[in-house]
Formats: sequence, structure tokens, C-alpha cells
Amino acid sequence: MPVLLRQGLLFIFLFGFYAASYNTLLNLRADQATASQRSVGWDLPPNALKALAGEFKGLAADLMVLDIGAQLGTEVVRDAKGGYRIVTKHFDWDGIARLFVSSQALDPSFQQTFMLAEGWLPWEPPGMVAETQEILKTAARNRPWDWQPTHIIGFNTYYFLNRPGEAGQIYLEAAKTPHAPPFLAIIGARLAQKGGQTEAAIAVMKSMLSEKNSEEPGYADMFDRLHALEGVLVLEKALQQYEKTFGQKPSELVDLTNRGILATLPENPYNLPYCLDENGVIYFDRPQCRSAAPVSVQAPQ
Amino acid sequence: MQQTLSNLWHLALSTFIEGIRHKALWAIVCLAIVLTMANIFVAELFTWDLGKVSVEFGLSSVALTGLLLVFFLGMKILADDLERNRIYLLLSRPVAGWHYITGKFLGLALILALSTIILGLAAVLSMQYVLWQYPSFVPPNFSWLTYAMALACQWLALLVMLAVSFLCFSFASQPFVALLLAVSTYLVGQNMELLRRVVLENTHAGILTGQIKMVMALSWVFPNLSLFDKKLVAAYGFAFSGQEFLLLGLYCLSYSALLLFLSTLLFNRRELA
Repeated sequence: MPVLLRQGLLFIFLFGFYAASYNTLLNLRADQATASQRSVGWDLPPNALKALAGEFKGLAADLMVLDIGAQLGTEVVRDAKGGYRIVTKHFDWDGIARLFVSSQALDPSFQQTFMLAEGWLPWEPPGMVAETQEILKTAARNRPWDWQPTHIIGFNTYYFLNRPGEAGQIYLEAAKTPHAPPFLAIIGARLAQKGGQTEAAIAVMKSMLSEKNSEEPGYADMFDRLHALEGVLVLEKALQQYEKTFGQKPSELVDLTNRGILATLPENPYNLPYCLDENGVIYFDRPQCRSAAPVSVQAPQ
Repeated sequence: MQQTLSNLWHLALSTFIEGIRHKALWAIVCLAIVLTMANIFVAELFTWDLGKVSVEFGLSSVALTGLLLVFFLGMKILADDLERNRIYLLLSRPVAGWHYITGKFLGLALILALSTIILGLAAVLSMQYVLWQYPSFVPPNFSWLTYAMALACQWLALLVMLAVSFLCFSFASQPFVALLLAVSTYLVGQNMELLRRVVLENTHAGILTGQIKMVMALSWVFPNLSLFDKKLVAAYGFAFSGQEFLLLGLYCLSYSALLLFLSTLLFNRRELA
């Protein structure tokens, strides 16, 4: 047999051996991964990770977030009939949450970490709102120039925890960040008032307006919102006075003028009548509040 | 005095030229350029903070390449002098031990400066592309001055590591042992600040509990390299004062001078033996 042929056969044999063993190994790993998607390689205490990463902490955080991103997501596979089906994955959510925390330990300012965490963790499954809030609070502390982490904390507090008053305060806090969009203050004031914190909302709005130029975009909207809140506050105080005097709540706001508590109802800058619902909450933007749907809040972008 | 300066200059220049001619240098520079260009593609993998990823990747490329130069090129040049008996040729002339150590150090420091500048500029090009493509992801306080200061800090850290390599080389019997010692010192130096803070701020620090004095003593012996790590500062545009920069320069200078002095003592003893 010629030498060249012998060498060729030997090469094919060795390559076949290599391909078979490597392919078997890959298949085994794929089976294990399907059983439970997790990455144990990163699952170390934060200080140990910092020590291992050395001066490349930021890069390690980047890599970790890419690893999380690669694990999450929807997997679509082709079925036998030529169609597609979505593979149901079982994630180790506790492990993934720890990965987010570890990534933040390495680079607490990285936006990709908290945005990805917000995109997955608080929703069902796994519904890990408390863990997400902690990740966002760390990001907010380490990104003093960025209004987004605080804004998202506010959204989660309203949407997942159903605490509008607290959410409003958080939105107003986010609105104080330099270059924060005006809608934060408007939403914040709305939610704070809904949560029974009208005076606090007015105080924050006033302090924010005092630092703004009337030419700035959003100034007029904030000004209108402040006036609307001031109207609500007048009505709230009048309601308390009414209850104190007559021993019961008024059934509608005109009772306040009819029975002499107020000379006139305050003006609403939105040219709508104020509305009092069954629970005694006053609205400036829902004239049909006794039958209207609940207010929605803008989701984080 | 003139003779001393002349010796130092010629040793530094010959080391610099030797380093430039070395194939290892160009292999490392090629690797670094590839890494820097990869910056563009790596940044594309992310959705947010692309500017940060790009700046950090660029500075990390500089750091990695510098370390490779210190550990392999620097050690190789020193080891070659001994293995090829060139050192006897030098020391048979009116060249003192400290001239040799300092001249070699300066020559290698120049090589590190050159590679840092080349890589730093290459990184700037790739970063500029990413920042231009995605202007909304440029950190609000990002400044090229802070980037240049972070790059300079990277060079200062490499100088400290170079001085450590000289010390290890001066007393280790084999170049490989010197390399191992230098790498170990680098790893300890990178974590010295972390260790110091764990002991100082954590009352439940495991086996380190109650070892504050020992850890503090070690933190004065080993280089505190993490202080020079300003990648995140440059990437996010955090405040980096000129005072801190100056103090880092002084720390690098004093620590390196001390190590070179010790290296000379050990080197002279080694030659005598």
C-alpha cells in the first residue's frame, strides 16, 4: 500500500475518532443543559469573583451578562411537519438572579445588567420582584446621572407591588435626576396623589419647577399638573371639613358648595370637572371616575 | 556623572532597540491590534452602555498586552543576557550593577510606553467608531482626558510590575521561577486592596479575622495594583482628580525605585557568588 494512501487512511481514522468522541461529548452536554439551564461557573461569592477577575472586573461583568442573555430567551425549533414549535425551558431562576448580583458586584454601574434583570426577573415566572428591586437600587446608587433605575423601581412598585403612593414618591425622586424627562414628575405627582400624598407631591413639584426655566420643554405640563394637584388639595381639605361638620362624606363634590364649605370649586387647568369616587379619592383627569377604568402607567423603555 | 548618564542612556537605548527587533514584541502587538479591532464587534453584542463596553475593552487590551510584554519580553531580554553571557561583556566595562539594572529598566519602560501609546491610539480609533455610531450610549461625563489619564495609569501599573519582575529576576535561580514569582505577585497585587478592605470592613472575614496587622503589613510589601485600575472610571466618565493621578505617579516612582534598589543589591550579590 502506498505511503500516501496509508497516511490518508490513518488521518481519516483519527479524524473520525475525534469527531465521534467530540460529538458525543457535545450531545451529553446538550442533554444536561436541557434538564436545567444554569451556569455554575460564575456561582461564586462576589469577593471571590472580584479576586479572580483582578483588573478585568468590567470585562468579567460583560461576559457574565452575555452568558445570562445566552441562557434566557425563547428557543424555536422546526418540527417534523415543517412547522415551528417553542421549546419550554426550565430555568434555574435563583441561579440566574445570583448571576445578576455577581455581575453587579463586578461592575455595579453596568446598564445591561439591570435592564436585563428587569426584563426577566419580576415577571411570571419567576416573579422575583424583591430581588429585582435590590438590583435596581444598587444600579441607582452607582449611576447618579441616570434616571432610569429609579424610574423602573417606581414602575415595579406601582405595577407589581401595587403601592401607588410609594411609587409616586419614587417617580418624583427619579424626576430630580439631571436631564430626567418631564413625564416622570407628572406621573409621580399623579401616583403620589392617588396614594393620598397630595401635599408631598405638590411640594416636590414646586421645588422642581423652581429649578426649571419656563422655556424648557415640559414646563407647561408640570405647571398644569401642579395647579391640578393644588385644586385636589383644596377639595381634600374641604372634604375633611365637610365630614367633620356633617358627620358623613359628601356624595358628590357640588355638596361642598351647596352646603357652604367652599364658595366655588377650584379651577381645573385641564378644563374638566373634578370627580369624587366611592372611596373618597378625588380625580382631576377622570370626570367619570365612578365608572372609569383604572389609570395606566407608562412602562419602562 | 556624565559616564553614569551615558551608561544608562546606552543601556536603555540598546534594550529598547533589542525589544523592538524582538519577534515576540510584534506578535504581541499584532494580537493587541486584533483585540482592539475586535472591540467594534464585541460592543455590538450589547444593547446598552456600548460606550462603556468599548472603552473598557480597549483599555483591557492595553493592560493584557502590557502584561504579556512584561512577563515574556522583559524576562526574556534579561534571561538572554545571562544565558548568552552578554552580561559579562557589559560588566567588564565601567558599568556598575545599578547602571545595568536601571538602564535595562528604562529601556523596557520605553518599550512599554511605545506599546501603550500604539495600543491606546488603536483603541481610540475603535472607540471613536463605536461612540460615533451610538452617540446615545456615550456616558454623560465621558472625557478623552480621563481616558488618557487611565491609559497613563495602566502604564504606571506596568512599570511597577516591571520593577517586580526585575526583583524576582535578581534572586531567582531560573527565569521560569522568576516568571512564576512575578505572576504570583501580580495576582496578589491586584487583590491587595480587596483583601485590605475585607479585613478592615468585615468582622467575619474567616481565617483573616484578627489578622489586620498582618494584612496591613502585606499591603505595604506587595504593590497595590488595583489603585492603578481606572478602566471603569474612564468608561463611565467618573471623576478622576489630578491630585490622585499625581499621587499614583509618585507611588509608582517610589515603589519602583525601591524595588530597583533591592534588585541591584541582590544582583550584585548574585554576581559576586
